[in-house]
Amino acid sequence: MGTPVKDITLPDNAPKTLLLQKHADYIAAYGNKKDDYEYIMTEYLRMNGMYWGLTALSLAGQLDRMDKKEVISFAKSCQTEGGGVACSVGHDPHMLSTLSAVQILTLYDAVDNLNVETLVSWVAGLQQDDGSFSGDKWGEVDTRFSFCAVACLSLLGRLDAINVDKAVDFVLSCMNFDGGFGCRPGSESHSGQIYCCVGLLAITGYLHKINTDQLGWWLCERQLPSGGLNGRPEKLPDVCYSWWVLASMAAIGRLHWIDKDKLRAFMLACQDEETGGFADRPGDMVDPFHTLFGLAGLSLLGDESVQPVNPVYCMPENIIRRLNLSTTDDAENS
Amino acid sequence: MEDARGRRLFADLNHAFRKDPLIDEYDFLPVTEPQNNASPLLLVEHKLGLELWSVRLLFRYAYNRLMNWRDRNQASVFIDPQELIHLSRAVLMVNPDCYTAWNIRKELIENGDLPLADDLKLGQLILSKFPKSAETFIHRRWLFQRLVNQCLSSSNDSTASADGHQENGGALLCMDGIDIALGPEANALANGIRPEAAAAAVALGEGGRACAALPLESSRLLAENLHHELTVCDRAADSYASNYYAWTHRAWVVRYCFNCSLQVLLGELERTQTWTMKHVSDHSGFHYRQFLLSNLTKHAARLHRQYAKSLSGLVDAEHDFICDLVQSFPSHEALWYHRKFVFHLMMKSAKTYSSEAAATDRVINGELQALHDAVSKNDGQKRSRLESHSPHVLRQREMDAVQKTASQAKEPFQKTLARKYVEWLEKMFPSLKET
Ligand SMILES: [Zn+2]
Repeated sequence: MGTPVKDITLPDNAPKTLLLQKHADYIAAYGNKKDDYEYIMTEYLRMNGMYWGLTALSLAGQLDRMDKKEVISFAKSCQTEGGGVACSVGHDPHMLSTLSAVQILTLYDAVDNLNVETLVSWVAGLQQDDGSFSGDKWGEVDTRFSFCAVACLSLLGRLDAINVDKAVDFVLSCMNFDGGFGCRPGSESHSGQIYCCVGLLAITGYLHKINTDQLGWWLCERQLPSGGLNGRPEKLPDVCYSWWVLASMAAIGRLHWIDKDKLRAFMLACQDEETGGFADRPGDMVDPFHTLFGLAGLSLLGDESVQPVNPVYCMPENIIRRLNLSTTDDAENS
Repeated sequence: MEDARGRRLFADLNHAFRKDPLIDEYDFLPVTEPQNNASPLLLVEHKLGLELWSVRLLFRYAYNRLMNWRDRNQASVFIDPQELIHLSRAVLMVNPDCYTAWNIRKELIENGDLPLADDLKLGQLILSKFPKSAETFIHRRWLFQRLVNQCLSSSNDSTASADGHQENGGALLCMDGIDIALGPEANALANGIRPEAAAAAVALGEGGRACAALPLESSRLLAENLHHELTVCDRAADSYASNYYAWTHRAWVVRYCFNCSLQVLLGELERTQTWTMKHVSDHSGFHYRQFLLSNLTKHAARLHRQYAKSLSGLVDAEHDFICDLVQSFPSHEALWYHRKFVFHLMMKSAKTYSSEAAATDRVINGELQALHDAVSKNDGQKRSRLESHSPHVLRQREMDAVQKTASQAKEPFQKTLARKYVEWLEKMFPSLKET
């Protein structure tokens, strides 16, 4: 019968309801079991990991289960003299961990614990002549870093510190013939990069520059018969890519092009009934990363037991509202 | 006690590299408990095996020692550069995305403590175990950028002309009109037969602008490693399907280090044809060809002048190639996506033709003239290409072919993909009227 579609089948006994409390318990306990080796092996993304866990807990409405003081002092201790934030104490500052730190402190309404002035100038200092951003002082350019810079500054209300028009131009120069975006001009379209580029355009009020039908089409072709979404053609479905595709579609107003019921079934099937948490695919090991994107995805799909999520910042909607940030073009500031 | 074992393992690892500096592959062996007195490190024919239980102890030791040194809040111990090189190597062999360890090596290179070539080798070794390690590729770009900048800074000092090739905040190397062999012959060059030739090539601009006094070491390194880098990408692409990092890195090398030289673009187009044929599910491989073709379209005139190739000839050949694959390997989404791109490129150049025809025979610019020349030369019969390649005719022909596939394919998914393609055609190129 020819080549079957690269996909998975959902096991009959896979979970069909959301096990919200289990996920909250899983995340709350995650930080405690500091197995030495695993702990230091993941130290290079500690700050990102804390953002995933804390946001997952906020979406479950249980942020208060974490030690706020401890979190804030950790984030604070990771800010370096130059203003950038490192993934962990002793590591080097990076754009990815800087955004995570700002997101975490925004959840707690406590950004003042950072030296915001030096942080803003560190981020702004990484903008290049062509409008792109490098991830740190070593110069690697990627549209992901453009998103990090813009999201971070916008959360701090300091977009004025960079050349927004140039940042937008660079992202648009990464648009491909299929409507998608890659990491640099001419790079293959990739759902994660698309999420970042669409997010940047949403924050800056330039969504109208997107070829919505073209991109929406490519994005909805990511849905496989199992209901899950993949990140690129002929890849397996995955909870994290499901989120990036779904959030991008939400940002460009094409959420209705997806079969929501099938996607929901796929995401629910990726839960671990015993340990709590989500995996990339049914039956795999769970982790905080996929747990956040599982919960956020279900929230976007309309699950009312999860707090509403903002598709662009991947943070609780009420926090984005509190900051008065808009992620649609029709806002006054566009 | 564990620390002492870790230190011993670290010494063993360093010893293995001293014994065999040509280790080119390594892996972790699924042995979870120490076996009596046998060493957990196995070295056979340049392949290194590390028993899994020892990897944990080794990493813990090397990581803690390195990060304690790095953490400037603590009263740091002094560690000499050689040990830092070894510690960071041990850390990265286990956890190559630990970017701070790569940064430590960047600083060691800047301080002159670590030869850049050693790091190119370490990265290659790590890619044998972790073919999609993002940070390893990022570090390689930094290494190449450094080499390129070293060559350029001296060339700018001596020749001052950076005409028009400004990008990424600095001048790019211009490698056109230079004799660089790609394909099988490239290996001879990459293996260092005549590195001076390639070094000179790097230093030459389009007009044969030579730059005197290159820092010999960096130009030699660049010459030796630039072509080899394409092979490094090949291997990474072989070991992990749709390897985004490997293919975007390859495009970066072509763009940044080769400045999209036509010869390199053409060589790569030829070189990746067989690869994509053998990897019909790999959209990244096909996208790379799209990258090459897109860049070639920017230089139609020069393509004709220097290589006697017509752009439309290349695009037509790619269309034949992809239509063949679509028929031979049904139900592959990656192939249908590539077909969309190629067809869109055909339509683009067809539209250029029609508008040219409408503007009488007046030559609008050199590129169009070259296109035109190439066309009239290559079309054996004098029958007007304008007719057979009009957007209207092209679209109809494509539509007929795909509809035939949609109705005749046995595989349901191939049918679906063909039907989607038809939908796409209708949407992208709605009811074209003949001009
Ligand atoms: Zn995933």
